[in-house]
Amino acid sequence: MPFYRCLIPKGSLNYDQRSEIATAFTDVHCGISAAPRNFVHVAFLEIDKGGTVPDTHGAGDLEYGTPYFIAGGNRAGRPPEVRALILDGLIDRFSEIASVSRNDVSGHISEAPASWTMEDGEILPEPGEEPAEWYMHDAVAD
Amino acid sequence: MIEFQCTVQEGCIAGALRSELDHTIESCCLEVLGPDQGPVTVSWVAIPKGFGFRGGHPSTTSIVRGKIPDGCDEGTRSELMGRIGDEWCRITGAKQDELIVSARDISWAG
Repeated sequence: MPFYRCLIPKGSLNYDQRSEIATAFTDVHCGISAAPRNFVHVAFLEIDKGGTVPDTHGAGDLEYGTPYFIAGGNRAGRPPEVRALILDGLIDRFSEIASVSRNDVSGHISEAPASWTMEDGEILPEPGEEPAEWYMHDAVAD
Repeated sequence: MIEFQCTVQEGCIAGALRSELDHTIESCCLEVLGPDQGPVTVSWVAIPKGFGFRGGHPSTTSIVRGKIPDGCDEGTRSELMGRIGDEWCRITGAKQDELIVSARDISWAG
């Protein structure tokens, strides 16, 4: 269950932009990881003043110095370069859709073991070991 | 010490159910992990309508995320998440595919 929280200044993105970013994040994540689309979660949190945000996967308080910040949480088990590739893709697409400089967007992706999460009543499989039934969700969602 | 945070989509889980869900999560933790593992705290975050998405579509999914004492074996962790999930769906009427439950070691550092 990739979960990407986008911390954004109040009123900075309209619904269409948020929706487009959520779809773009799904494209990026699934394009690199091959996870089912319906398992990608994106939330936008409007903030008055940035600086730190508690990580959802145990990495403590994440500090950032940009107006926009992407705090991601994924299943552990992918090589670091894949994690970096995903984050790069997210930042690229976010800055493009939000029409802000790439320098105004930063992010961090934390990880936790797949077996520590249950979705749809089932323990998550390790990355790359998703059974075929997983992809049936996409037919429902799309 | 056990901490849970429930992230819900605005309008999907009635506010009046929160207290029952708080107590249920606490009961599940203490029954599965042991009464000496408390206290259990539960906090809530609501994602406003139009701010939460799943697969690029508006989301109705709740995320119940917990931190539990280190050293929990796989079977016990699975039982805990399963019980919380079953109770959540029973109380709220949500479907299992509208819920994510996680329970990570409290000392896990991402």
